Amino acid sequence: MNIPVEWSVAGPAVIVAIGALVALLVDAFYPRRTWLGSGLPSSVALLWGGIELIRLRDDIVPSTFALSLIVLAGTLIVVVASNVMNFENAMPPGEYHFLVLAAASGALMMVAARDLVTLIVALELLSLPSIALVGLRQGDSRAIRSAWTFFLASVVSTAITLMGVSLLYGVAGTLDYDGLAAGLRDTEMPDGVVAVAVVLTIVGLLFKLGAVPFHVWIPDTYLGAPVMVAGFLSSVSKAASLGAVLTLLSAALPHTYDTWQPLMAIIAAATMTVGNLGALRQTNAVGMLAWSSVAQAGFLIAPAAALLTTDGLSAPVQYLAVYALANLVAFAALAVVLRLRGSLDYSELKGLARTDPPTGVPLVMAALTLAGFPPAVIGLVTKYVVIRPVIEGDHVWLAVVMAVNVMLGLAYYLRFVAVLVDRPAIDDPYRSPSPPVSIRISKAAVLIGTAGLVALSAWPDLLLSNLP
Amino acid sequence: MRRSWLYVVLTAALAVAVAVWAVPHLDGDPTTKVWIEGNDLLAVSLATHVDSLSAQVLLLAVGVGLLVQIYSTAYLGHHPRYRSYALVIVLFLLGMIAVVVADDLFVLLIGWEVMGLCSYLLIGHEWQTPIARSGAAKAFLMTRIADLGLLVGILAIGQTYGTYRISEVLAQEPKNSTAIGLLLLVAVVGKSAQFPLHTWLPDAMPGPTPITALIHAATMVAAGVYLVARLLPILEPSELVMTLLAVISAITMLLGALFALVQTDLKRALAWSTVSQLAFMFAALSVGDSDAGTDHLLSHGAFKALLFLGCGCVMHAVGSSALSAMGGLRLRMPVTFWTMTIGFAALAGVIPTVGFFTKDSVLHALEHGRDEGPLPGGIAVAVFCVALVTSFLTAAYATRLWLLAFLAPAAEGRTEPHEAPRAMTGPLIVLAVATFALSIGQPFHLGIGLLSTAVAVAGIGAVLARWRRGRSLDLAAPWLVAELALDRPYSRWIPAGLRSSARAVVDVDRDGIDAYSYGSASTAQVASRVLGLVQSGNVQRYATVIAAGVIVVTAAAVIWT
Amino acid sequence: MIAAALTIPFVVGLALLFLRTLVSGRTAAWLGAVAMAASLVLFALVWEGKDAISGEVDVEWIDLLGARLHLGATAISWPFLLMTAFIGVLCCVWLIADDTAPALVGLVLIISASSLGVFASLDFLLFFVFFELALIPMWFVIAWWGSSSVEPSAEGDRGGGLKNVPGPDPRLAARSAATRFLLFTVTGSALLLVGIVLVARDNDSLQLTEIRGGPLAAAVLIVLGFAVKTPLVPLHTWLPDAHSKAPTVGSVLLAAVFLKLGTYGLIIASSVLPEGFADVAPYVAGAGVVGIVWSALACYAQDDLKRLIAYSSIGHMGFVALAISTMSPIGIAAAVFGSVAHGVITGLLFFLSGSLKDRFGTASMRAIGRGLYARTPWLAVAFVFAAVASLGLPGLAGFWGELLSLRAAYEVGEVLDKPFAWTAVGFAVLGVALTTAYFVRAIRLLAQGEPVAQDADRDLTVRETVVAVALVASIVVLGLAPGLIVGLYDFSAVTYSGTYTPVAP
Repeated sequence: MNIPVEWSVAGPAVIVAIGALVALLVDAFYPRRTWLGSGLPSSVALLWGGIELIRLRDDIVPSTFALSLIVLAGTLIVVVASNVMNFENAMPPGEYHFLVLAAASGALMMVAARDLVTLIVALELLSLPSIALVGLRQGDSRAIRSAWTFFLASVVSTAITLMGVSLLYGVAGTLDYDGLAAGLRDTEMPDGVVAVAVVLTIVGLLFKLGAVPFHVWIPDTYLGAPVMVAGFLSSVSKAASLGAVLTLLSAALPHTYDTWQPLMAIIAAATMTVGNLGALRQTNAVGMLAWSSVAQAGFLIAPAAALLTTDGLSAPVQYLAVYALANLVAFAALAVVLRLRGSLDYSELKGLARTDPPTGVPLVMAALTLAGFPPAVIGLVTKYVVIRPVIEGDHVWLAVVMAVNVMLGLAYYLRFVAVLVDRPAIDDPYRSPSPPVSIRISKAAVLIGTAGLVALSAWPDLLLSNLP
Repeated sequence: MRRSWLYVVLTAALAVAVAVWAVPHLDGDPTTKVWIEGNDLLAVSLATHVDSLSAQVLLLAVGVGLLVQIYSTAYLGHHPRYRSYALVIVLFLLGMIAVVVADDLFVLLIGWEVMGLCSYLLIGHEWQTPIARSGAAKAFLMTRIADLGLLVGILAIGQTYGTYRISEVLAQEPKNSTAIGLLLLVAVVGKSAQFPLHTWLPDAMPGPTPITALIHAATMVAAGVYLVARLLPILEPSELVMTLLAVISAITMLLGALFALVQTDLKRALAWSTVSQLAFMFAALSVGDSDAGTDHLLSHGAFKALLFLGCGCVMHAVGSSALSAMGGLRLRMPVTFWTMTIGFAALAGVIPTVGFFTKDSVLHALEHGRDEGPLPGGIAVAVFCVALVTSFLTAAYATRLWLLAFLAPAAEGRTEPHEAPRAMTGPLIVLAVATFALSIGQPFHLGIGLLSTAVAVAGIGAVLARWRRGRSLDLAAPWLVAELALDRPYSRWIPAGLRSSARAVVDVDRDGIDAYSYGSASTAQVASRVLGLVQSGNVQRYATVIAAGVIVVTAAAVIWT
Repeated sequence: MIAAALTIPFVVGLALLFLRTLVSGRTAAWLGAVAMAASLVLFALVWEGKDAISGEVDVEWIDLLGARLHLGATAISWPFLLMTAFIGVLCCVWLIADDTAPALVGLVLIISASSLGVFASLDFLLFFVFFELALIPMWFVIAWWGSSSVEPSAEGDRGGGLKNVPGPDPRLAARSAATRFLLFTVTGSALLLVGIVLVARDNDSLQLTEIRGGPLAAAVLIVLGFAVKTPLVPLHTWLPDAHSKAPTVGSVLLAAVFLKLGTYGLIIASSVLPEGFADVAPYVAGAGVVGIVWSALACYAQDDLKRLIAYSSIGHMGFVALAISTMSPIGIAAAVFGSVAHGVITGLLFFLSGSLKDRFGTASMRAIGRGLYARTPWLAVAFVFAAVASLGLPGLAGFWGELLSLRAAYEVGEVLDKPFAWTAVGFAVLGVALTTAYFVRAIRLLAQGEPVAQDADRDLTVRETVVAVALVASIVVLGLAPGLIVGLYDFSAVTYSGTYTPVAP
């Protein structure tokens, strides 16, 4: 088996991987629990990776570029916002940054993968550090249980994917995407076998994406994980899985379109509906965002039902970019709130936009973006963007399901917003006169992210014309 | 008190202006004038059409209106709400003028409904009493619902003739007469209180008496007659419409007279008399003789206004409109007595009052209706016979009312009544003079005249004879006293049906139609709870869900291909 | 100029929201009134004639989707724009009081400006953005200021009330009504979004000036979306709750402006999707006339005055829907006139019922008691005037909309076939009769009757008088000179795509 290595593509991933090692080393020799410790080299590595990526832009497939950029930027936000986390007692900063960067490196490989072996390797490189991150907090039994759940789901999903991959190899005789495409076109295998092979391969990836019915691990994992890890899983990890699915479907499996297309459509519809329904009764911000990320996955998959049209690839990527940014802003803001207040129940968040605008207002903006509602125009525009290919593919029923889910989603996002802008309890004991530097840095990250959302809302073209 | 003359002056100015406009047209040619041309789409132009008929009706309206305003200064001048009362009368007159002179049907409709509104407001003038409230509401609802016939009828006319201008419509060959006619008939029957929509008029009597004289005797209720007379050329070709009109008028005139005969309340009796007399006019119209109908309109306007105003004087004196409270007023209220005697004579059709002549014309027209005109011969004969019977009854009840009000022994234990102030008796005298003056130049038909005089004398004689013998003039006819329960659908059944269906609608709206929203909301909540249950933290259960999912998805894919 | 007319209220509104602690309620309301008045004047001045698109602005926005910042006033939208700005001014004038929350003024401005944006948009996506923009502010107006005039108390939110049946707690009831309103509308507008995507695909353009038709599915979805907003039976159930629970200005804006977003949208749909709309027009007409009768019956059983007016709005919108479904110039004229007339008349009714609610703390007619003619004469007279205008008395604004829509249904038989149209006319006429019945009932219960004085009997205050007089004047003017609006249309009426065929009178 001869796997060619495109260094131009692998470059950023390698840089990030090196960054991970450096972070570990720095922590070993210069253990600091503030941003000056392992966080700094991590950030530098991510920035450098980004620069490298942009330098190589012309050599890379547009969608891969966009997804890689989302992964890098998302990870950067995670790293910066992680400053606020409670490194003092429970979290070892060196390991934390190492794991985050390693996972990011896996995510970068995953979106760039053009053959199934790379894909599996990258998947593992993303999954294993992620599991460790979920359970990283010491002495927290809930975190351990979440990690265990996550681990189980990952193992199962990898196993299923491997099964599908081996079947595909049996059918097509190669693991290279281009070869697979040709092989599946010319294969004389029975349709059933091909179908099973294709479906099993996709299903493994859908696990990571959190599509119904493979979403069951998500709420538990997010609730048990440190907040920024949940943010990482919901954005970076999801971006990688989505990228892998899209590339796989469009590059390797186009000729089995008839097999996976209706399946993807139904899964998309079920995912968004189940996710939204699950979120309806949540009274914890992370729980709500966990279920909402399931629902958003449905919106991400939906355009895949019309993948063979022009907008099929760019639409989900654009949607993902906005979703990831909004989600990370929300999680980062919540991380700050958690640090200050110790809980993320709605009762704790009441009136946040009035008492602490730098976290409350970004949360409002993020929720409205996720809901797709003005004044977060960009959320609405990206909803339009994902509905468009669905319509182009003549799946009006799916578009209507999406429309109904926009309403369902608004029901709980609005409730969240209403909590945030409600009149606060009279005495607010959490106001500290001079917050520590780490909190300021995290807040800065939150505000920069919010500024991005506002800028995109004012000028959606900024996003739409620059990502593919 | 001084302030109240302001409104008289206002009304007088209006009356003078209208008179200056109308008088030259009394004998002149019809003139149509467009003041403002309408937009294509809206097709409403402010256009007027004045001919001798409309000039006469105009003069009647503003004349009675002015008299009523003068009368009201004494009758209601001290009322705390006199101002709004007087202003609404002016608004009413404007509405009436619009109806009479409008050439554009929409302008006519505006006037028509403004009159209805003013009628509503004025009947409900004493809105603190339940009887006035319900009477006002009933009058407004019944007339307005009937008015919708006019609205749709106008649309039908526009559709048929391509114009909403009466003069242009009349210039064309009649078309589509039956449909248009039936629609207009609905409106007319409602406005002029004809069977079966006749019950609102007697119930409108809680309104101030001058208002009754103006709106519910002389002008508004007669507007239906005026409208039919105006549009008669396009209705006449339809035998159905004219037959229906004849039958309705026959029923109404008979019922009205019978009910008038048994009333114990002077004002209500006069109201039924109005219903009956309006039916006379329609009867004339139904045989195609619009002149006879409108002549009777004018004469009735004069003498019925006289009677109602006189009734107001009596009520002013004795404080009630019940006949039992009256009696013995002849000497106490001489002016009222004599003028009302003239009014009753006109009502009974005694020569030489104008009532005699115009009734004579109507009967003459009906008699001719057998041979010519739009009605089938048999129907015309039947209506003629009913009209004769009604004439007999009319003479009878007029005499009865006259006797009971003025000549019967005075009711016991009441303070001595006085003659009404001059502002009230003045208009009576004017109208009494008019009751004679209008006779001048009226056509006269000898045979019919003799017949009708004989019938009237019989009616008067029958009552007088009974009176002489000292018998009670109250007929023991419980069915008639109950007015044949014809009001029951309007007073009970329809409101009850409306209330129960309204309640049903509200219930269905909340529990039936809204079920889909509450249903889907609670379904969502239940689904959300179920999803929460799955999310138990039990890894084994997750594995089960996942395994099942994989199997289902794979199986689906295989079956699909 | 249009951009300025939209920006001024937006900016002032946002400023009031963020600086709400710095200004008094009275100042805020004055500021708001001035801003809306400026907007009104600008919109009035922008007019360039009925054959042109006035004050057109066309700037690149989202290139990739073909969406542009495309604004302008057409013969169809101009009356809506003026009416909305006018109502906005009056709402602010209404709020000139000491107990006004500055934030409420800010929200009112944002809602008005967003609605103006809807009417001024010539780009379908921009239209949609404005359409959605007004919703969340309205949610806050209803949920926070609804049912009682106090701001939410600290213990008000128990996280519940999202979709619960209205409970005894007025705050929760208002919140639940607000949420129902929002979810209904958003369901509709999400379907609308799908429809817009469909239309955009078929025409390769989002400009209302360029769209020429679309598939039936698009027409169905778009009409559904607007039908929720209008609302047409059976999608109306959100309306009585929302209107009756909202604060006075909220009710006024909901009735006078928000419902018009629906009817205006239907007009647009009939204009840009002629074929598809023609297929659904019978259903629109049917829902409209059923709504007329249905809502009139529902009104007859109401005790709460605001609820009664809310239901009556459904009936009036039924007339407008009937008019639009004829797809004729006269129908469009009827729809525009009916919408504007309903805006001013129902605005007046809601202002006056707000006055009553301010005084008596409830809008229940039984609780307010009889004999207002004697207790608060001018208030009673204004109310009776508004009621009479609303029941369609000829010579007042309410009449012409109804008349023209009946005429359109009666005469124009191209989209609806004759038997159907005439049945519709029959239903509509029955509805008019019932409308008279319930308004007469309301007048009997409130204005007439033996007066029993209450402590709260106060006649109109200055600000209330100003608002009432302005609306009464506009009702009379529109009633006596309907040509002011109808004159904007002729047999070759200006439409976005010019698809109407001339119809003989």
